[in-house]
Order: sequence, then structure tokens, then C-alpha cells
Amino acid sequence: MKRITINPVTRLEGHGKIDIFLDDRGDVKDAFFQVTELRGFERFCVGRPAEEMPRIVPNICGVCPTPHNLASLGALDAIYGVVPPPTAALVRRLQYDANCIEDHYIHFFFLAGPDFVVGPEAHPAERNILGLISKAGVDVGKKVIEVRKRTREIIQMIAGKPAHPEGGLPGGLSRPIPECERPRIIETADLCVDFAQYALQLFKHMVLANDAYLDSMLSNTYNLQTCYMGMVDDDYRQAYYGGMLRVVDPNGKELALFDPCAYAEHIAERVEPWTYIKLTYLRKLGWRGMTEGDTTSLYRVGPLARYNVAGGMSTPLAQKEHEQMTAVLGKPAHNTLAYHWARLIEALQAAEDMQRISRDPLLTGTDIRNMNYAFTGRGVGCVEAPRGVLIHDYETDAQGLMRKLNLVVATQHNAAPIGLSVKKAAQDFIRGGEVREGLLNMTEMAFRAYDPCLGCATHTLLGETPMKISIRDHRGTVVKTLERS
Amino acid sequence: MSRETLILGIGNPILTDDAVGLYVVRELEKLRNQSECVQDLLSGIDLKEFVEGGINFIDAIAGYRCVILIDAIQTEGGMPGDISFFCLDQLGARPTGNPHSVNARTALELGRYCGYALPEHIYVYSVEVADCHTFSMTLSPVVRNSFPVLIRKILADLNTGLCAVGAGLTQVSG
Repeated sequence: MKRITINPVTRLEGHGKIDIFLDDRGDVKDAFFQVTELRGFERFCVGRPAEEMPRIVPNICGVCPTPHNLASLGALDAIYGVVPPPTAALVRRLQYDANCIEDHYIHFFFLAGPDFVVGPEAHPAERNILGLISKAGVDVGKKVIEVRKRTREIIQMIAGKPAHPEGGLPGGLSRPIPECERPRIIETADLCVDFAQYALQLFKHMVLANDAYLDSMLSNTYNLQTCYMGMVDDDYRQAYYGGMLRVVDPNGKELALFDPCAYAEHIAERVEPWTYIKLTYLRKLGWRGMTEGDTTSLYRVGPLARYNVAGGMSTPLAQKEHEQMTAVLGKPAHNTLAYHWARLIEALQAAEDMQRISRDPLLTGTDIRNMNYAFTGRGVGCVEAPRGVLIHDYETDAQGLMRKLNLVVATQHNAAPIGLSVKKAAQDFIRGGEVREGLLNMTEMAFRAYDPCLGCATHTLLGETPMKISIRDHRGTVVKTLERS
Repeated sequence: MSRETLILGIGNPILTDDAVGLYVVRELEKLRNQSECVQDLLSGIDLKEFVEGGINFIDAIAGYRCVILIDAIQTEGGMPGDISFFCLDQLGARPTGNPHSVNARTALELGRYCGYALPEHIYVYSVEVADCHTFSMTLSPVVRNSFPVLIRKILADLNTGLCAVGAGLTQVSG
């Protein structure tokens, strides 16, 4: 009998890889966070009909297929010069909300929550969803699974498949929502609002009421003073689709407010020799290095950024929670671990918005597509993915075949700040070349707060993603490797 | 109601060899439609594709008594094109560095903890990849060469009624 030893690593290298660079005294100088480099996406897309893009792009990433699908649809609407009818806009928004709820809860309960509920010092084998359930009760696990299942049902109802949605078309949708499906949507929306309030109570009870965890959230280790970018509506409330992008500096002063189509005037990319991710910064300020503080040109995106750029939330219950967060942290809040708090408030807003949409008579309208095309050949679509600003920029030839595309994803915006956050966490644990115990845990908490997207890692079922930290001396030579395995 | 057996092809359809599990399921479906013999072998067996991971794995497999996964894999020292067969239980648990997912073992444990009816047996046919970093809907030559071998192996294993080349004898379809 042949004995097979299976030792899967990961099917995609580079995930969770962190390089920490030391200076000649052995203290932390820089840190870079690596993500997967996937090859040939532009070549894969060029020459294809633009209408195929909303079905292709969700395959890029198992984490945020719906935001990719919706950003792509936004770009297509612009290419064809059409505005979707109100019902189509409402249904797309419902799809967005359902994804936002599912995504935020998977992150909080499965990945970030255990750090707090089980404890940052706990062994990694216990610091997971099962550890969380054993502390908070099995009902939590059942509720999370039920909410996730119900919200995915809604995405499937709208877009055919929850994993890789394919329902949208330029100018609208491929099918209307039948009236018979409304009761289930209402039921799901109500369930999500209840759960969202429960989740926030749990967070307050287990995190904010715990002095040690609150101290961590407020500590300098997890404080990073950067600029912020996020989408707002006409009233400067948080928006996720169809709004303007607002940028504030570390003091909360507005630096820019622009239509996402003009992103290239405001965002620049920089290549650093130690990472293959292109680091983004604010073009008008110029590259000022991997620095924080008043002079930085680095910005963050995602829930904490949206909290900082917006005057408030667009729904009443979420607005109250937003005000409570402001009372504790002020605004702008630079506390990286507060990403989690902002995330839970956003999930409540998405649930309330879903509740409103579920009862809107327009939801089941049959005017779902505007085909009065005024072809432009160029389109930029922008949505707030759960983890931050996502931009799709397409250019086609006169036949509507793809000629050029550029995608700017949330983790790219956050890559340099993640490096800085890791650097600050590492500075507490590395002095004079000596590495203290606990570096992996604290670093993990720092980068996890951003909920970074690691490409298509999420459909990796058998292999796992080892977290790996390489510490390099001032000559760039690896002097120590730490790996969670 | 408990169903019997599921063959689940896993992968990303546009990442070269990563899609091999999806292609296997499509090929089995095609053979089932073309051949009565294969139709008999696959009688009572559902064929499905799965493009995700993490907790969604529970939804895909809940209710089946036995599940056979077909997936791409990358192992230490593995040669591209190598085909392996093993029980999912043979995989060691490993804390994930992926900030947005859990592995199959954790998903299963969670599902069982929360009362889901999950399979008693989960087996895996895996193919060692040559390339899963390039966007393409074509397998690499070396994995393409292994593809018919894997199809024959699956059908042969089903024909003998055994699906346990090294993990004890377990009947897959009855």
C-alpha cells in the first residue's frame, strides 16, 4: 500500500508575507506587506467584448466578487453612456448591501473577533471561530451562518450565483425581482438588522468593556496618522455606490472631493524595489516616503477611512452608533483596531438599507434596463468594496471590444499603511536585532484589521496560507524567518 | 434528506491549472451523457462545481453521506501533474494567515459544531499544479497530460466500488 504524505503549502505564493527591514543598529526601519502577483489579466481581457467583464472580474477574487461585479457594471454603464432605471439601481444596491453584511461578518466573527473574544495572547489554534463560539456560545455561530446563508440567497436571487455574480448588464439587469420573492427579502433584512444590533452589543460587551482591549485599541502601537479616502453622498454621509470620493488629511481637513472618473488626477502609483505591489499615494502631495503624520501623502481606505471622511451614516440606527464611536475615539480616528468597530456599524447600515429597499414598491418593477445607448468607449466604475475604494477603468474600441483596463483595488491603497502598521507593531518587539516573543500575534492583529484582500486565496481549500515574516538586516539579507505553521 | 455521494470539482475557472477540478467534473458530466457505462458508474452521484472556499464549503457538501473533492494542489516537493488520492482527515490542521477565510477542516468542524448534517467521508483527488498564477482558461501542458489519467483513475475506482487507495476500504457508491 502506497502511503501518501500530503503537505500542502498554498497554491498561491506571497500571501500574508511580510518583510521587515532593520537598520544598521538592528532596529526596525521599514516593513512591507506582500500580496499575490497574478499575471496576465490585461492580456486575458483585451479583445473580449466589454459586456463579458462583469462576469469575468468576479473570478479575480473570491473575497469580493460582488464589488468587482458592481464596479465593472458601473464602468460598462459609462462605456455605453446609459443610466440604469431606478429599479435596476435599487436592485444593485440590494446586492451590494447583502454582500457587505456577509463580508463584514465573516471578517469580524471568523477572523478578527477571535483576537479580542478569545484574546490576543491565546494560541493560534484556539484563536479562531471555534474558540470564539466556545466563549460566546454556539448560538453566535448558528446566527452568523444563518445570516451569511440568507444574504447569499439574495445575491443569488439577483445575480445568479453568490460566488461569481453574473446578473448585470450595461444599463441595468437581466431579470426583474418577482413580487413572490419580496417576503423572503423582507424577512432576511429584518433578521440582519436584529443581528447587526446584537453584533454591536457583543463588540461593546467583549471589547470596549474590557480595559486591556480598549487600551490596545487606543495604544500608539495601533495608531497610524494618515490621510483617508472614501465615498460620500451629496450630504457627506457614507456612500458605497455612485457618490464622490473625499480625501481628508490626518487632521480631518478636506484635501479633495472628486468624481471617481478623475481618480488618476488624485492617485499616483509608485514602485518600490522590495515589493511587487504598486504603492499608491496622493498625487498632488507627491511621494513623501513611508511616513505618517501631518506631512504624509499616504492614505487609507476601508471602514475606518469611510468613518473619517463622512459626516455620518445614512440610516438612523447606524448614525447613533457612529455618534457613539465619535464620542469615544473622536474624528478623525487613527486607531487601526477601530476598523473593526466601524465595520460592524457599516453592517448595521447595510442591513437598515436592505430593510428600506425590501419594502420599496420599485424593487419588483419591470423597467430594469435602459438601452438608449450613447457609446463612449471609456468608462470608470467605482464602488466601496467592504475593504475600501475599488476602481475599474475600461477603454474599448469602436466595436466595444476591450482595449485597455486598469483596476485599483483596496489592498493596493492600503499596502503602504499596512506596512507602516506592521512596522509600528514590530518596533515594540525588535530592538538591537533581538526579536521578542509575540511579534507574530501583534503583527497579525495589525494587518488583519485592514481585512486585506489576498487575491483568489479564498477558494484555496486544501492548502493553507502560511503567515510568514522575514526579518532582513540593513544589507537586505534575511536574518530570521518567523512562520505560523 | 441525506443524499448519497457528491463529486465536487473545485477551482478558479480563469487561473490556468487551478481550474482542473472544474474541468474534471465537466468531463465526467460529458461522459455520463455519452456512455451508458459511465452513466451506471455515476448513478446516484451528483456532480457539482465549486469556485469558493472557506465557510461556504459547508453549504456545498451539507446533506451528502460521502463527498469526493477534485482539486488542484501545491505540495512541498510535488511534481506538476502528480495525482494524489487521500482522505481529507489526512491533512493536518494549520492556522491560516489568510485574513479572510478558514480552511476546509475548520469549516467542517464549525459546521458539525453548529449541527449541520455533514458527510461521514470526504476524499480528495488532487493534481499538482504547474501554474496557477496566470490568467488563462487553458491547462498547462503537464497538467493537461495528467487530465485523462485522472479521469480514468476516478472511473476505475468507481468501477471497483472502492475509493480508498491507502485509507482503508470504503465504498463510495452502492
